[in-house]
Amino acid sequence: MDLKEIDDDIARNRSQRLEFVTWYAKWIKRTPNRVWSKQQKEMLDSVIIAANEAAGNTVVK
Amino acid sequence: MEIEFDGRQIHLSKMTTIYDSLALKFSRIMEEASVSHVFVSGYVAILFGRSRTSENVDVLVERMSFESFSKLWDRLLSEFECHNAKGVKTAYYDYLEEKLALRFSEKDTVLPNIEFKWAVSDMHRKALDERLTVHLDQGSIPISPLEIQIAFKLYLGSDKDIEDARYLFELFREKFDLEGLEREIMNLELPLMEAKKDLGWT
Repeated sequence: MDLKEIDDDIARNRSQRLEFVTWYAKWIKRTPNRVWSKQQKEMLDSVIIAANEAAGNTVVK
Repeated sequence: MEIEFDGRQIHLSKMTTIYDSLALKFSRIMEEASVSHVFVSGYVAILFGRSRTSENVDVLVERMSFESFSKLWDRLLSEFECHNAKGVKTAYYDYLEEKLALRFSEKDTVLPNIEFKWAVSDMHRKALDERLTVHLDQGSIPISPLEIQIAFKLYLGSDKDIEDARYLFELFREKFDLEGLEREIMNLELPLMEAKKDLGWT
């Protein structure tokens, strides 16, 4: 197994993720709150709601 | 992003997530009990729009006597459940006084939960003493100063932590005390050049 190939891939992924974080922060800065916060809410809340429903817990909305 | 900074006060009008609602509800109880507290770590990035989830919302709390904590415990348990300590003595002596965190969530739920621990280190106390207050439409949330938050995230050093640090840095780079951020980075003995690279600080 070529471990260097794996390490290189990890480094590329890390670098690309950091680039995306910067891009996303810049997008948030130029986007109205009602737009970004709606998207954020839909994404985050859906994960929490699904996790609690799957566990048979009460869903806090 | 429409956001206003006024000294240590930040005004932000946004749609609140489940994380925000949990922090607001918890903070309201703490305020009613006059207990100093500050939200730290990943939730700070989430509060300002970072698009990632977390199991927990971290809060540092001013250390208090067992008697004071007993009253707070009763108040908290009227609206939350504690998942890892079943009695007030265990919560206080076996967890908090041992520098371990309690985990509270809304009743009949598990996620997300509040990770509650004493502010005991120098950095914890500084975060508490110099906290900022974020005013949302539904209430207020005290958070760690952003410079401390970013430096500490870099110190923690996981991919997720560095991404949170970079996000906050990029979001507020025009509003930061950059010299203050450098000081916080150096206080943690982090190599400045490497830290700046992680933050995309060019």
